Amino acid sequence: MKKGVTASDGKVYGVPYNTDSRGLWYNKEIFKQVGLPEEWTPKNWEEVLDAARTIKEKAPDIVPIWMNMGKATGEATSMQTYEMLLYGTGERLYDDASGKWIIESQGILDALGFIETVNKEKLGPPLSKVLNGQAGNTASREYLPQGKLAISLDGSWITGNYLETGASPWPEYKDVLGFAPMPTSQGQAPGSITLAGGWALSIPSNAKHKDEAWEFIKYALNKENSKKLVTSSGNITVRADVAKDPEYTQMPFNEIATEYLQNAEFRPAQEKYPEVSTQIQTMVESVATGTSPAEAAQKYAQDVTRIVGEDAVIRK
Amino acid sequence: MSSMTAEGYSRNRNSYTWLYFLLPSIVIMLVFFITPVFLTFFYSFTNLALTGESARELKFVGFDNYIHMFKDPTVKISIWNTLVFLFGSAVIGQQLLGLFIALLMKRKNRPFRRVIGTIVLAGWVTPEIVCALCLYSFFGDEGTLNSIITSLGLPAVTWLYTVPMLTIILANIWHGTAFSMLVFQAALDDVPSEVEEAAVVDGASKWQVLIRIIIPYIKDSFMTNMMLITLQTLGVFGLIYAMTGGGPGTSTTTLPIFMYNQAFVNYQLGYGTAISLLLLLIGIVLSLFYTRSLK
Repeated sequence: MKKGVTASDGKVYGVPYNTDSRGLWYNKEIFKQVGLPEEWTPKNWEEVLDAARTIKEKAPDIVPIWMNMGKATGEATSMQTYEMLLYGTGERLYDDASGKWIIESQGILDALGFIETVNKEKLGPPLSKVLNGQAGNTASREYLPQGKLAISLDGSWITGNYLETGASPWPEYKDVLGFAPMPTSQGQAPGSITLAGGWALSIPSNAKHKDEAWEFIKYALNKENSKKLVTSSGNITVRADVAKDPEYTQMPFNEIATEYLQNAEFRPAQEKYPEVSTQIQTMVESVATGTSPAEAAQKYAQDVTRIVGEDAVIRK
Repeated sequence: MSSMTAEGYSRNRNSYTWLYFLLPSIVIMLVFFITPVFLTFFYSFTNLALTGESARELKFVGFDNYIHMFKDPTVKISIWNTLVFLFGSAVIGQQLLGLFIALLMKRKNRPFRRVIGTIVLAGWVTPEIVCALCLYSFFGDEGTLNSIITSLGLPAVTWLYTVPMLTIILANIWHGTAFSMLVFQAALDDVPSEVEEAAVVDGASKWQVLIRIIIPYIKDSFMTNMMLITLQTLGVFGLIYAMTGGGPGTSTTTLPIFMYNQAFVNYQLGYGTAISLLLLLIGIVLSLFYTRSLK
């Protein structure tokens, strides 16, 4: 977790107070119906695709797998889809050692290839549904609870929707849903991958009351308050003591989601990330609509070079 | 006793009274309009950003933002989309539809005019975002339009995905036609009925009356309306953003949407201001074109 708030100069710049993980939500009932294991732990990408193919064959009315692929869903496309795939190949967006953005690598092509396969074999939802800004909500609040979707690559927080106080209350969710870790491309170490986001508290260097701010941070993020914060918002905690607390662990899925943090990776803490992220979304959307991965990756390389400059990019 | 005649008033009295009366308006214009425009101009030459090191230390980057703009392929797409949207929804859509409705309503009885007028006005009076949501549900995959189409046995169309530009043009026409209708209603009422009747007596067909008599009379209103709705349409943001977000891809990304994405999604305010000046330039060019045609 400390990695998430450490910048490229190696210094820690904030105190995180919550985080999240991502994985494959799946409907156990649909799985049972088509003969897939109820306790599903795919070991590599091919197993994920095979499960989707089985569902498409045996239950053609149900959308096999949903991944956010549009520009309109913004950061969700970058983090929940692309980065989960890319990081699962072992590649990264940014090379810390050389301080450069990686604009060409086999990992990029593999990640895009996965998306291309899902669309070519029609394992995903209709494009008109997934490429608009509501896609994330359509998947988590409509399709999953209504049993119209079998697998969803999404974040740990979607369960917040199913609570009584949530956007689409679903009392049976803890029995119907399973949360499998997203595997790495070939099952290579570390076996599974998740991106972790979340928020942190920081003190700006120009702040006038730094000591008071620090006291506040210590108080706001002590064990009691931290626990209250994450249980009421449905996020994952960053404190090991809260993670063991029964009030925290009794929330369904909190334990597994927190466990996935073992292999958590973070987005590059670079100034240009938001702009690069927009290019990622453009790239993913163009592959989703039929552009070849090679072509889309080439455009990505050109666009990112234009944004960060020739001397900040490397090709692998 | 100082003379109170018209000339005496301006010659003997303090002739700066008019200035004092205008002062509040001048101050408001200065603070809320001139200064922001000037600041926008200034910031477009810097690397102003919302995050990152340039947020702390503003650097003067000269024409970098403008060079970036020329090299950016999305800028050309945005300009094209803006022009298509402008032409489709304002020039053709709202003007012609507004004129058509105004012509149809001419000389009809009052209650009829009021009912129709209110219905058309409803689109104009509705806040942009409410319009956007209404039309989103109308054009959506399982929306009203598709329900009507499928009940007639025809295949449904994914409007917002397959023909997004057409859909937002239709949406903007729905939203803004009332304005043109009101302008033309007023203009048509000014056309002297004797001239029209004389033409009919002389044997002119309805079409000839329209082209030869009515249009020349309302030419000025036509041009003024054109200029007003052009400038309004250039700035349309909420309607498009809520309905399609500029997508799919960049098919409905107009300059305002592109500008928003650069300034507030990528946090590059400096670049965003440069684009806003481009938009301003387009507006100025078009306005000059219209004012010339008015002469």
